[in-house]
Amino acid sequence: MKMKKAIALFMTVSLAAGLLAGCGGSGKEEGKDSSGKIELEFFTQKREASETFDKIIEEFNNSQDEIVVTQNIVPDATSVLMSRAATGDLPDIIQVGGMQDSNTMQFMKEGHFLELTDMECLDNVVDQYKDAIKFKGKNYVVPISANFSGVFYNKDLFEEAGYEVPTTYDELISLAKDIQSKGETPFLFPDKDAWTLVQCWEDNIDGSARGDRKPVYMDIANGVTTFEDDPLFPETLQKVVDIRQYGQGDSLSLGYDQAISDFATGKSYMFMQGIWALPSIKKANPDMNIGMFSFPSNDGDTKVSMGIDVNLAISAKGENTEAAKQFVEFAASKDMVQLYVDNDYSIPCMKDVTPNIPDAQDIVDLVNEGKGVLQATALPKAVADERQNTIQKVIVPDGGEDINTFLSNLTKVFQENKDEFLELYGE
Amino acid sequence: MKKSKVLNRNHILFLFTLPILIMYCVFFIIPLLMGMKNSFTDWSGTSPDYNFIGIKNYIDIFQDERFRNALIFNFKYTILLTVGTVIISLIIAIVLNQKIRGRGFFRSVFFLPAILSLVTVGLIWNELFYRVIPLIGEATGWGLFESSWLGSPKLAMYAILLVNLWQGCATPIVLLIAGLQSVPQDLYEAAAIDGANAWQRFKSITIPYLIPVLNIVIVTSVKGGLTTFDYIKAMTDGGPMQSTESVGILIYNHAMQEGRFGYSVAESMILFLIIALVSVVTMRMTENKKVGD
Amino acid sequence: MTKNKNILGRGVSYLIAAVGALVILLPFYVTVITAFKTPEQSAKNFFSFPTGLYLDNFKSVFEKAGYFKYFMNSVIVTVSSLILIYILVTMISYAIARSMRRSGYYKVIYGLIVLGMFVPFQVIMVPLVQFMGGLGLSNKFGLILLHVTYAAMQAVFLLVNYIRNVPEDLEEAAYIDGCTTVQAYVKIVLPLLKPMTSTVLVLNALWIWNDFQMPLMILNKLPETWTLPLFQYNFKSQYSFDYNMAFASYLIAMIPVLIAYICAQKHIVAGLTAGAVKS
Repeated sequence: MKMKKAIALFMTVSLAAGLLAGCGGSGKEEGKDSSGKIELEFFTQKREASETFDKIIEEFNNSQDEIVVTQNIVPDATSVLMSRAATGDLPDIIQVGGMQDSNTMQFMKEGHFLELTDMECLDNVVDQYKDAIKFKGKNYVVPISANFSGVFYNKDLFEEAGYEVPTTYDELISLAKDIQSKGETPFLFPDKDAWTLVQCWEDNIDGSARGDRKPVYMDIANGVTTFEDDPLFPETLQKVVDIRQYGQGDSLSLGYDQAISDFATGKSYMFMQGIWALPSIKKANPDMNIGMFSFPSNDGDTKVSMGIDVNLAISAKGENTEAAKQFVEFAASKDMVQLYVDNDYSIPCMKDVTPNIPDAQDIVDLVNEGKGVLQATALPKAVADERQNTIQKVIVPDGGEDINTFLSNLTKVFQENKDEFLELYGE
Repeated sequence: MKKSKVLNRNHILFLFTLPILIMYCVFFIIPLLMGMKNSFTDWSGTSPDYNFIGIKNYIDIFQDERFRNALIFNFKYTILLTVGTVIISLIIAIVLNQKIRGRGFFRSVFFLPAILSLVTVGLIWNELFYRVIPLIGEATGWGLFESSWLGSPKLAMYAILLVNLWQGCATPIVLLIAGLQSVPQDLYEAAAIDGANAWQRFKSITIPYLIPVLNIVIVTSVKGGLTTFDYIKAMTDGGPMQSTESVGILIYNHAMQEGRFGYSVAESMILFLIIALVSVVTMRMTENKKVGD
Repeated sequence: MTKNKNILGRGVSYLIAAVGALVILLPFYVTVITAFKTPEQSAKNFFSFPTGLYLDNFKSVFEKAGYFKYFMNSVIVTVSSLILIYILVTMISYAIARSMRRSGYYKVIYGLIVLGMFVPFQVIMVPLVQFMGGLGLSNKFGLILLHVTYAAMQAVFLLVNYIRNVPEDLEEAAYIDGCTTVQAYVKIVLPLLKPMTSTVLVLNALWIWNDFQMPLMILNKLPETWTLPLFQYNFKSQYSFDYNMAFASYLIAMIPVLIAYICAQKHIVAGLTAGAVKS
């Protein structure tokens, strides 16, 4: 009897508390500061670029006096962004990855981004990217810059030893053997961070040999081929495994940050990464002489695997979307994109802006020759997650998994999720 | 007259409970119920709509090999952590309870790790494992020290455990020292006169006095082991090859990175039941010992 | 014979204490020396003592981030939470301990609150963030309320068990002298609980000061309200390729607690053990 009363009372309190909570809204009007200016939050996920974004934001805030933009860069950005999407509280402007990124695709698909098809700056996008950045025929992101994968090399060490940049896969391997025979380290592989291993395979080795991945993904989705039957995937993954014998030893212990600091202090001749690592390497050692080449294919007909690195998107639920658009137009203007790519060493996505990457001039030349291939197709999220979660198994000598098992498992997960893929990309 | 005073007192005691009770309902019970609801849906965590799918998530979890592996990891880890914490802190507490020189200094040193944040500790050790282990290997030539333990699927768990013990023993040591000091010295003397040897004295005098403290230490490490998250996040993030993926990490990954929010809540409900069950069992076990003595 | 054994035991004791202390201190040593070295010096010899007093790492940390702002935020959040815990949690624990034998209501709320200790934070994280946003509490004030609520679970458990062992005679004597319930509580009960309240406060001070997940989820929109662990983690991920600078930031984040520990070590240790051992 007493118990019942107690429970009833408890329920009442809970309910009352809940009601109270429901009623208490925020008093202050959101998005306005005390002086009546519109405040916008610009959420950045790419830490390497935060200082550059600060410069752009400063220019924007000084250029007019109605809007104030502030950059917000947080630890563990992916999960913060996820939790804010879950609570319907996405930042006004968000910097996201390219169309090859499953997270970006998920946000677009679920309608978190504002449609931007009529924005002026989109007319200025480099022609060959224009289609690739569309989602079901509409635009939701404004591309600023593209990145590419390749092999960084220590120019001073190469010159001392009299090495030339390799142009075929065999040349690369014999070069690595030579370095190793001197008791030195050809490569650093930061495989502790599984994403670097994925990138080493799909962009560095597979991408530079294959080019665009969309056709093969379509074939897998349609059941025409599989990961293990494709002529290239098993070969390129085997190269990922083979080349690890020229690494620093136990590659699973090395993390990305540690690898950058080690490469910058001359611990290895080469370092397979993407151009985004360059600002960090230069910060770790400003005096270093660095060069970069695209991972050479068997026959020397090497392509450059590229992806959109920085996209700007606007939250569909934001309160000041017009102001946000104004900022995006500003950030995507020629001058600002030039400012961005100069600082970030990346390839501009806008016309009449020139890339300025002396350390990777060879690759920029290849891109200018038309050898650059923009990857704009994302795997279904479940496949991308499965790949990242299990790829380390392929490179451990014992207790791991052989290439075929790994690839056929990917095919299996892809088949389970092919509808998601065909809905987005199927004609 | 007297009755009204008693009533008054009851009213005041009732009022005493309200602030925390209301906060508890608003900030805990309501979000908890909202969260539990999600475990019966296929919500991705970010999608605008979702479907109720009944207990499908729960059924799937029981067939999920990844969840099972995470659970096995947690159990192994928890047992090792609890046993390790008890043995190490007990030994050190006994040593520091003796009249050795520099006792005050040693006591302050052993408590030092407790004041640091888990994240800082994880980050520092991460660097130590990578930079220092190979140096030891070079000096000694032992294969075990060839490279960072965090990079080995076989050793990574022990590396994390080591760091957890490094920090996790600090508070138990302090508690156990205090517990040892509460043992009346004349009991030892009487036992010594009766001819009891050191082990007998330890077993039948020290341990019973330490039971309340040990109870706290064991329950805290069991809970810490079952929910372990921060150290792993800072050091391996579940790798290499998912060898250190605890249930806590798995839940976080499913919810925050892989877009399977409903599923992750179902996983945490199961974890909640397991923790509650294990805690009750451990409490009962230590409680019984105290009574049976 | 016994004397020899004694000496041997002594020796073993010293050995254990020394080796243990070395293991505890090594990471601190490495943190300090690395913070004072350049990357080149560290690359040459990781363990060596720094050759000169190289302060650039610290300079960069201070230049790049408003350290004092974050430090003050941490102080405000920790101190306010502790004050509220001291007042509110003790109140409810007292009410529960004194009435749970008499009334089912107190039994139920006690059970519910203690049950909270076993719920993994991930279950409520997203609904909680949603909820706090809706209440306009995604700020320092909201964070303080959360810390108090989540501290209450374990604290109520510890305090209730402690209070139940405190005899009621003194309170009753106070009533006979004409004290009201509140007066008796403040003047008689609170002082009696000091051992356990100090244990609770020390435990929670350490937890709140070092907490990372909750501030990250609640404060991520307002960088100017961040606490020290957020600043430190953020700094680390931005400059992690320069691990000397990263270690300088670890050291800077550690210093306030180290100072507090050195100054108040006796009280911290005494507080921690007072309640735990006697209960």
